[in-house]
Amino acid sequence: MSKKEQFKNPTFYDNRELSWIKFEHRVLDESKDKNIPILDRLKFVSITSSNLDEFFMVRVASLKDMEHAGYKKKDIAGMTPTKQLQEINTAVHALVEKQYHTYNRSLMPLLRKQGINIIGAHEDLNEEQSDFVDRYFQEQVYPVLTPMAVDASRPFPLVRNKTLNIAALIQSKNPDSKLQQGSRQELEFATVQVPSVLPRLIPIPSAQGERYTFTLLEQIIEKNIDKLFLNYDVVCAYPYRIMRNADLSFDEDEASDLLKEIQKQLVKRQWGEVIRLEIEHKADKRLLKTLAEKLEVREEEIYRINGPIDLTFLMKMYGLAGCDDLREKPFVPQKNPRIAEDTNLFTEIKKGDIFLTHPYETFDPVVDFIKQAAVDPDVLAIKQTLYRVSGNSPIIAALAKAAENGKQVTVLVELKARFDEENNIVWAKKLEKAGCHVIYGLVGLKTHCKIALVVRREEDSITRYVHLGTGNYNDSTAKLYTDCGIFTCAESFGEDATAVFNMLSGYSEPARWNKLIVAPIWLRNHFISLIQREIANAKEGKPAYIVAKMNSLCDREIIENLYEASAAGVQIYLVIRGICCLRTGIDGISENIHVTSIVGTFLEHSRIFYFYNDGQEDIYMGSADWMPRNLDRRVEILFPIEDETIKARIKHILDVLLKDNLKAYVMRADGTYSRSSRRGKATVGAQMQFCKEAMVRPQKEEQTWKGRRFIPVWAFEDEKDES
Amino acid sequence: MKLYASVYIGSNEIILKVFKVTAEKRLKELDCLRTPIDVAQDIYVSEELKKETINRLCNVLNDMKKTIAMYQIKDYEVYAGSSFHGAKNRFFVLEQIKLRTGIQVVMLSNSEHRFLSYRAVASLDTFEQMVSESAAIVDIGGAGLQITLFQKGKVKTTQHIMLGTVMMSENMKRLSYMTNYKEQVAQVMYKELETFVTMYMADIKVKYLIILGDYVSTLMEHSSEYRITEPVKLEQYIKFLTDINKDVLSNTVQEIDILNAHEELVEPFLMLHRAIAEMIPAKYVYISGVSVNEGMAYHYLAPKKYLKVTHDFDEDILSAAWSIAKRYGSYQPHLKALDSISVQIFDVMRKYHGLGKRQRLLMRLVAILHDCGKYISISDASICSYTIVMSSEILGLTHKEREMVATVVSLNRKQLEGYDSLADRFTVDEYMTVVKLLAILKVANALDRSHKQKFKNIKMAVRDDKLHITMETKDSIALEKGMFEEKADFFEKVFSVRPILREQRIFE
Repeated sequence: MSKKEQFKNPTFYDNRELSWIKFEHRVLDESKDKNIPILDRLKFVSITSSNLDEFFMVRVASLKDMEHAGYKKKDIAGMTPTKQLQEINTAVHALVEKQYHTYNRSLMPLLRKQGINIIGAHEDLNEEQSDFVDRYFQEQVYPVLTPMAVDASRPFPLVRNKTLNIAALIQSKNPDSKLQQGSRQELEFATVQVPSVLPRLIPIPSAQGERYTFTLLEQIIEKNIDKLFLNYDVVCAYPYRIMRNADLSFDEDEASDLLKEIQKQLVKRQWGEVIRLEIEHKADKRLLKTLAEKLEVREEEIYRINGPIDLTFLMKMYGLAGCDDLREKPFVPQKNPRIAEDTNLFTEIKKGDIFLTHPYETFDPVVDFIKQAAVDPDVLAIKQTLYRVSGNSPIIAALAKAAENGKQVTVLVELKARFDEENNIVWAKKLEKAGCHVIYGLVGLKTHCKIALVVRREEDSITRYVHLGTGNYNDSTAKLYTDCGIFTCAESFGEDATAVFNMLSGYSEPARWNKLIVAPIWLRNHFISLIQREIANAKEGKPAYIVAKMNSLCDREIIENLYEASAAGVQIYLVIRGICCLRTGIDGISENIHVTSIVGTFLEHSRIFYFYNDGQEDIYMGSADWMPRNLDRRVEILFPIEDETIKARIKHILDVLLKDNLKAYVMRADGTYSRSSRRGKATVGAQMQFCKEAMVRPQKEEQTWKGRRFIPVWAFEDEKDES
Repeated sequence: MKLYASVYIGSNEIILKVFKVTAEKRLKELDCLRTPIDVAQDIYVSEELKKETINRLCNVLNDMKKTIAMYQIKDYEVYAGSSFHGAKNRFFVLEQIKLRTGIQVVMLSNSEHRFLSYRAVASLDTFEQMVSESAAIVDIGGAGLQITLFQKGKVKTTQHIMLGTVMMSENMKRLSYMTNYKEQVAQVMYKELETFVTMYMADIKVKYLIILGDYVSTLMEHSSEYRITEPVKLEQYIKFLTDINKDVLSNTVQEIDILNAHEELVEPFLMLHRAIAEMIPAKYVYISGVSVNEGMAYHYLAPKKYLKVTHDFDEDILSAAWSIAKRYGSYQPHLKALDSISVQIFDVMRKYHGLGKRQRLLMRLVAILHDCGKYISISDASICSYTIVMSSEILGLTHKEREMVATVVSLNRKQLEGYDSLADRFTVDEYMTVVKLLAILKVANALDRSHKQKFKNIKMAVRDDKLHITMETKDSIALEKGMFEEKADFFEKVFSVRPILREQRIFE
């Protein structure tokens, strides 16, 4: 027992929020990579900016809630909520610093060199541009502005979450006028929201030889702010933005109608407490003081920004016409070698399981799966889970069509997919209208699994075709996220898939599952027993390996077991994109664990788990990370890969991921990440290589993978010798 | 491809199973929807189903209908378990269901209900071998349990004992103000089982204890290395029940049904299974894992020859009847003679009575049981016979069939009255069956009036509206002849065929 206790030591763990901030640094590092075209680098800055917003609204907010509730319990790394909030603020200040440093010092000059100019201060506009901007203000902006002043009779207005605003100090021009109420000599506070209906990035006339010149909407307003307060002098005006507590936490047991409850929460969300204030770094002290007081923000929650607030607008730059030279050439997802344009998927799946890797291979077969089912006369039913769908999703259209064609269509729409609720409610209604049976999942559990089932009446049987994946049924993110999926019509999978949907419809689970391992009930224990099996093998002196790829690792029990495994001599290789609370290189605890993180053009998203099992290798894929929320509070599916050909392919994928020395970061013993050493080794970029392989594979026979015995040639072995 | 769906509304659960008949003529489960429902609890608390339960029933049934429609299934049945009979508002409920879902729910009597479970377990491969040695089949329900004893492939007895999980849990709730309420409940339980054992198992040792119900099999599978495909040793089973204390069990129950488990049933469930294992000592315990739904499928599909059935259920019924006859000291040679004569008349008269195979079985039961009341009172034999038959569970016989047999038996020595006298029990069709069986019984019985089996080689034939019965005999059959005419009158009234008795005296 004491042996197990020792793995619980908080110093062996990293705080998940701080680990997340490290990940954001890695993303930001991409924007500093000189080998990447400038527009892609801007995109990475934009991503960190929007990630940070979400982080505040969800994570910081929930820590805030805990702090308010007087919750003192320490986290995995032994920190109280208050302590975490302190450290987060320090770390985020540093991250933001780096963000704007990169933006101002590296990216802007580079952009200017390429003839693209963003004028971030209206004072820098030339005469022609000034005229243009003023006219634009009069015609487009002024009509939609609602300036609001604050005084004794007018309360402080509601400043909407995440919106950009301009705060101003104003002073009456005629202090003695009877028409003007309030304290006459004093400065008054006023605020105006930068309208979100207008684009933030405004193209303005360029100087000779430049491709584009932009300015920002808030600069245009700031420049013309005196026009909003005609009887006042505007003393100063600065843009600012606030972030509010937006974590949806509501009692589902009391919500008789989940849909209504969520709609209610969406309205409420704007009223949360302020947890971050961003304001231009040169802002007037008096103005800042008023804002901070009225919004009740503490000093450490104030971020003084040296540059445009909210860099998410940079995403809009990515698509600029005529700038192909400033962008990485987009990779065109390739066809799966087994699926030609006119392939009947059902016939093809009957021949054997099909393995898909996105975005290297196109997502079309998954959409076609539903499309073909919708018009197939033998198809009886289609059942699918939808977590986040794209706008104008072809899958939704196909499902609706199927229902109209008289198929029984059951769709589980997860309304609780964070920040997507509004979107999801719209789809849910649309599907219901078309005659689909829409279900909203189980109270208290988010349905995160990605599964689609087509029931088909064939000559002498009912055959069930199943698609299982690691990523959402979203055709647009499928071009950006690396995900895997399989098609199968194996009876055992079909039975389980049926049972999954029965369970999601509120019926009892089956007495036993054939193949699928389902969270929240069975998954955690299954993972633990798989790890324990490696431990037992290692103790018997047999080779023992675990390779796992996921987005986040922060589950205490899993980490404890991994530590135990490492201590027992199991070699563990983890490819974890984001949060990792596990620490490597602790003597006697984790020196056999290697952690890398790959941050690249595509978002690493697939979850793959490999267990050596004394040579009888077990490979699983699924929708779950090793996080408590995935293991305990969601419906997730882990599925085994049994086809030898596919197993070989996945082992190859893991092998290449582990060999990556181009985009991979290695977690060091001190918890920091750095690029892995490329000294004396051929450069391997996993994403690059998979792109190349996808383009070559169609010519090659699929069979070449068959029978290839996987001998773990681990990328880190030589490196270990080095250090 | 043959598909069939069965919906079973049990005391705690409503279950839909969709089956396919395989090429080997076996059942394969394609889909299963099951969800908890408070039938037994409602009935126990208020003797009727609550509105919420009825609403839920209708909603679930409508949903199940969709699934049945999805598979494009035409053949399906919806049965409500026998616990439904305890609800005073049962007919209102069934009507509600019919109006709101379009489903006609068939309410099972206890006998039919138990038979379906039995039918399911009898379809298993290992079953024949187990009963061919000796076995006790225990079917545990919410309101009661039923034990059937098998010896050398023959049914010895079937007994219903008022011990059920829901009932016990409610008892426990009621007694929970006492410190030793668990022991109290346990005592009652052991006492009841002890009575059964002394009465019926004095000279029987069973090798297999077969537990019906898929709940326990699910538990066993979830809990450990136990496998349900084969019997486990009794000690192993008892150890399993001991190891799995209440905490472990409720965890497991949670695992089995995260949505809504009847958690309060866990403890009585466990106690009851333990008591049974201890009181009915067997060498092995077999947990079948099949449910009423499978039984329904067999019951529906087997007569239509979609499924292969090896077990002879008629034989069970007959052996149960013989066992009752033996218990009440009926004179066996007479019963055997009567059995064969009445069947002979039944067969030769087929064209004139129009009855089928099932009624032929009833005919035999009537013959075997016609006399059993004499054990209690010779003068009141007919009413006693009726009571004995009505209170003897015969596995495989419906309640209605049992009542028909009992009625025929009780009328054996009485004058038949008009339909009106039986209209509260039978439809006209059923009444006619009773009358026909009675007519045959009377004639057959007259042929062996002396109970001495004086005849051999009985030959029968129907010619010119007459049933010619020729029998070889050494002794005088004056007695038989004397009684015969009166019975023949009745027979003729019923069939318009008059039986004529002819003897051929043989001398050795």
